[in-house]
Amino acid sequence: MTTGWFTNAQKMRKSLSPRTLLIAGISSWSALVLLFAVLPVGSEERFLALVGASWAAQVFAGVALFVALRGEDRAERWPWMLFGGAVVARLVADVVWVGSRALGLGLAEAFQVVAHAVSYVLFFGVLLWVMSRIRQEEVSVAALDTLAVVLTSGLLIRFFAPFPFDELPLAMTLAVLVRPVCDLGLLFLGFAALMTVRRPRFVVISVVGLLLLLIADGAFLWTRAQGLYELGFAEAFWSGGVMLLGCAVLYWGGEPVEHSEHVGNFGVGLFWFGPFSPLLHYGLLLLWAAMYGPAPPYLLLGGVALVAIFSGRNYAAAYASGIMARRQEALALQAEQGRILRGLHDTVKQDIHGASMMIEAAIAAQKSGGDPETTREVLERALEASREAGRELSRPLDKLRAATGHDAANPAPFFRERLGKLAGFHGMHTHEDFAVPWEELGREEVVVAQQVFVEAAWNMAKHSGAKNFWLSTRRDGGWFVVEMRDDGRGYAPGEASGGLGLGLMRTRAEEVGAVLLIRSAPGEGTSVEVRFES
Amino acid sequence: MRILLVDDHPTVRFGLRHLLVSAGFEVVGEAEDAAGALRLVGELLPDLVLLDLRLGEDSGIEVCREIKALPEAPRVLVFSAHSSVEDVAGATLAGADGYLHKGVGGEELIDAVRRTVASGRVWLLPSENEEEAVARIREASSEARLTPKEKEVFALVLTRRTNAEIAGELYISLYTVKNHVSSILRKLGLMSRREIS
Repeated sequence: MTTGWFTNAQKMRKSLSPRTLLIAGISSWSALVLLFAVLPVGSEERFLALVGASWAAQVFAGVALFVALRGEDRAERWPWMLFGGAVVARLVADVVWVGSRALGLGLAEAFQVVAHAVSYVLFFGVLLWVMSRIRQEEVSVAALDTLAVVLTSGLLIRFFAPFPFDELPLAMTLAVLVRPVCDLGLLFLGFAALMTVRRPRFVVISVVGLLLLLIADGAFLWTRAQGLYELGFAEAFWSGGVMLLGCAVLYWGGEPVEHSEHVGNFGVGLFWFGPFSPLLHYGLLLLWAAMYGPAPPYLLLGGVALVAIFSGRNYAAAYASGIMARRQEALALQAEQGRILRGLHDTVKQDIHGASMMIEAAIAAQKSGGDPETTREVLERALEASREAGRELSRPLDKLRAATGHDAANPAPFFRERLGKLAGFHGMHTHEDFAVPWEELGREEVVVAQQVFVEAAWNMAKHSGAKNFWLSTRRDGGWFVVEMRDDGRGYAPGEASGGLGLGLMRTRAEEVGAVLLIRSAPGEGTSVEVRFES
Repeated sequence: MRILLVDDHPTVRFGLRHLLVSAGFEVVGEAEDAAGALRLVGELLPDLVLLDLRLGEDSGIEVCREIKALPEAPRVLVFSAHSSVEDVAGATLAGADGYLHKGVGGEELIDAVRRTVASGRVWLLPSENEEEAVARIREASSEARLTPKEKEVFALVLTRRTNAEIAGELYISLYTVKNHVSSILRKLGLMSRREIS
């Protein structure tokens, strides 16, 4: 039975579903932290509850990573191996620190700094990889934004935190600062990913985990500065944060990340004016220094670094924007080419296949002495199909010609020639009234007018049943108006647009800042207007 | 020999009808969409359905699966202007008995119809063959993110079981099976594909 493998895989995944693991992890960890909170201070049971919470977090993070790695394709594994490495480095650092404190060993601090540095490098790497999957080219902008947030939040903490930084050597100051500022940076990256239209659940859980780490860091700094530090809550929150980061990986699979996602206006506003804003951070520091005393040298150096980061950011943003614009243009062109090819395939090729079969049928009938009248009818249909193929071929050719801008410099003959085709192919009476010369439009605008005309005119001719077709230009206030109108059957508002290909025309018009207006009513024909701002 | 034509293009249907009639076949009906095709298959009980894969908004692959899931299913010969590997793979998956490109000559078409009705499998394609199509199906399925249930359904589809048999085997409704199959075809990129070949 070929389904065995699938059934077993399903059973394994069901028994270790992300939700099951997440709930089990949070429940165990919460129960042990609660126990730690209620037990008497200094008791052995209280210490054991803390160690238990830490171990519960480790076990669940480890199992989650193992399950996630088993489920991923090989190509997708390496980021999660890095993520796993970051979580493990963090866990090892914390466990060694807790153990070292309990056993009274002195090596823990230096080891912890190194292990945390490794874990942050890996975390940043993985989150930037996630960002690159979500925001593609803009990942360099996100990276530089994060660097700015890390820099200015570090300056803020250094400047305002009630911690004896002045008494510490530079290396120790950096060691103390690295954890909260890196957590803030990671949190910022997580929020930046959350601000995109799709919010990957992986990121949501990671952000909660990072928040726990940040709370732990804040509590640690504050309690140590106040001389109130006691082994306990900060460590519990650290382990909880690490556990959530581990479990988050389980939610990565199947996330739709192949599309470039932009941060919305709210997110952009939040970056410049919200709590993470590097400019607000630095403005506040400058204001404070201006009011209450000379700015320390590190503040000025930080300002220089911030200017450098923002210069790089602007360059990266312009570069990414250029790439995205070119890609958008290429995609639009590709889509248009696809539509033209489909048009050719669905009409011309089918007509030719049909005509070929009819001719073969006629030849066969002639050979076998079939009814001459039927043979003649079949040949006439084959002839009509060939003519129809010729007519249908004109439409994509016109589209291609308009899209290439080949006739943009001399538009009036282009329109006249196409009006002639409409009259010849569809028996319509065509009328032109170019009251305002086409030359008043720019090249790109003429191309758009030609594209909309080809799309609208061919569709009107094919679907409207009109006897007359008008093409006119006129001025209306500050607008140069191009109007295509027929006296066909029209359609009611809310109905399908009668096959007018509205979406494409509207998009093309908007690309040059023009407005597309369509009016129609049953029995009253249809009017398509493109209004270009003069 | 009773034949039903299913093609959304009237010129093709007209040409086919005359070609087949001139060769002595009986064209019992014509349909231009999925609903018409399924209705006429039930009403006219043809021996063979000559089926296009693009039926306007409808998918010929789904029509093929529906037809082949019937108790007394007629032979289905796909007659398409497309011959991408995805289309051939889709037709294979849907249980088609043959696949012809519309570019074949009239004599080849008539010969293929005769051989298909005589329980043969006829795959006349410019370059691809059935083995490549099956290989493509397996490759696509490993790339696609199928849910566990879809994988189960897919494994049964590959063994040429009908929707009803799958429903019975997995204890799920026929409607659910159809949904799973549609989802599988979509994820494998074998449905509503509009490549030009």
